[in-house]
Amino acid sequence: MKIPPHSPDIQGLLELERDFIPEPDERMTRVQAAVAQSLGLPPPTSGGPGEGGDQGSGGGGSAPAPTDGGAAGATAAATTGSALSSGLTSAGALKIAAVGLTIYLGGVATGAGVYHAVTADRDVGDDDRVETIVSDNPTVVSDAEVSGEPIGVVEVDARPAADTDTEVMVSGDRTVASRPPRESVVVGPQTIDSGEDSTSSEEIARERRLIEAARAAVTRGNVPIALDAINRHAEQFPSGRFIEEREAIRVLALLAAGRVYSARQRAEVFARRYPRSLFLRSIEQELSRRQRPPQSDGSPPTPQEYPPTIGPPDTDR
Amino acid sequence: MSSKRQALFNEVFQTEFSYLCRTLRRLGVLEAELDDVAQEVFVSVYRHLDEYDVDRPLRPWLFSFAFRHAANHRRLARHRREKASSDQESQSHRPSPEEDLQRSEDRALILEALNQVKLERRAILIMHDIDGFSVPEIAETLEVNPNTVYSRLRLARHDLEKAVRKIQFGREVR
Repeated sequence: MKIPPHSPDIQGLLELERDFIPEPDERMTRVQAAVAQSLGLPPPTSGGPGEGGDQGSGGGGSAPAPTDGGAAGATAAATTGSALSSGLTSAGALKIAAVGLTIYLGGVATGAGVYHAVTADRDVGDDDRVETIVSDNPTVVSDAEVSGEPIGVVEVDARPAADTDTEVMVSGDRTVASRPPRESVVVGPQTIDSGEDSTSSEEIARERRLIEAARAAVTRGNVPIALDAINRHAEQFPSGRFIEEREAIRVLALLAAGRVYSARQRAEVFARRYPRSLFLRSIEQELSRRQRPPQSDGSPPTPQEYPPTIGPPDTDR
Repeated sequence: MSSKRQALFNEVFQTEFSYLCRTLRRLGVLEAELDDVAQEVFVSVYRHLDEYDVDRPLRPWLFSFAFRHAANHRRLARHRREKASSDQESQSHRPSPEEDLQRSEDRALILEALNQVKLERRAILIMHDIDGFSVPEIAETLEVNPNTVYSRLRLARHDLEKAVRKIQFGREVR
């Protein structure tokens, strides 16, 4: 049966709604407690995604403000955007330079500030998989041990992109996310073992896997996988540590999918929320590129009704 | 057994709470009533958890709970809404302060337009055009014939188009 498609603008509106993830609030905690009470279950324990316990209490642990981030992290983060952007410019044969997930640990009031970046330091060649720096003797790092200054580069054993994709698909099908194995990182010359912070470390690892899966999928042009990982991150970690990166990747993924309307909406929200983000440049470049008429290299034409620049409204500055 | 069930429930709750709330909003549950309806849904989900086949996608299954509770809620609340003025009605679909942070006028527009589509049609449009479920999945979830799904989807798209244009026209006139 042939069903007429939506008008383009309504399709855009539906995509906007599809990609919408609400801001974290107290509702989840409230409802969880009410459900437990109704069913006579033990009260929920803290630590779940979106709960106030881990992330909302303490030193104002709401969604991290990336603009607070250290220069090192921010600089490297800018490189991420460039890598993503360049990856998108040749969607057919992506040769991405991003190979190492380098994390800078910096302290904030809760000790949970994590500044991270994907560095673009070597070519992968014809293989579009993301390679990573693998540590030999990984050890869990305690957030509590993190000082206010970046204390070292953390080498992360991210799994190959194909594996990551598989996991995301499986969790997408069953919708019950499987917990990844315990993650490990190494900091500088010292290794610190922390059993008590393993939950936090696991959460960081889970967050990182989703972000990495999204990033890898975007660079391969596999937008559905990227958006699936992005949305799962948003749902499971509404106050997570990688929100800025997630939203930047989301914009680029939407652009890669040709969903310029949604991408522009997201980009505007991103610019308002992170006016000093170094991802903005990459996003803006990518949006501008989509404005241009078809190029000789075969890049697609884009709708002309969207202005090429983004940024917060003057009143918000 | 019980702890295993509870663990599964907790995981479902943690991973799907946000989805469920978004779905309920799309199905017309008001922001102010979301806590109560979400609670009712998850209580039902827990009670029927044994019926869930873990080899199958969870979201269509969850959607069926959301749909039933949204429909019941709508019926129970109908008398209240009939008393409400049109102003109050439109006000009830205004975004919450939290949503305001992310929601553009366009998102408010699509939610308002969705709300003007009949619930039976709207559910199918949400499942197909927003959630991306397949027609057989939708048919099974809502326990209707696949041809009915196609038919309602076509009508829902038509209704949505009309609703959007009507709202847009109203905005221009204002």
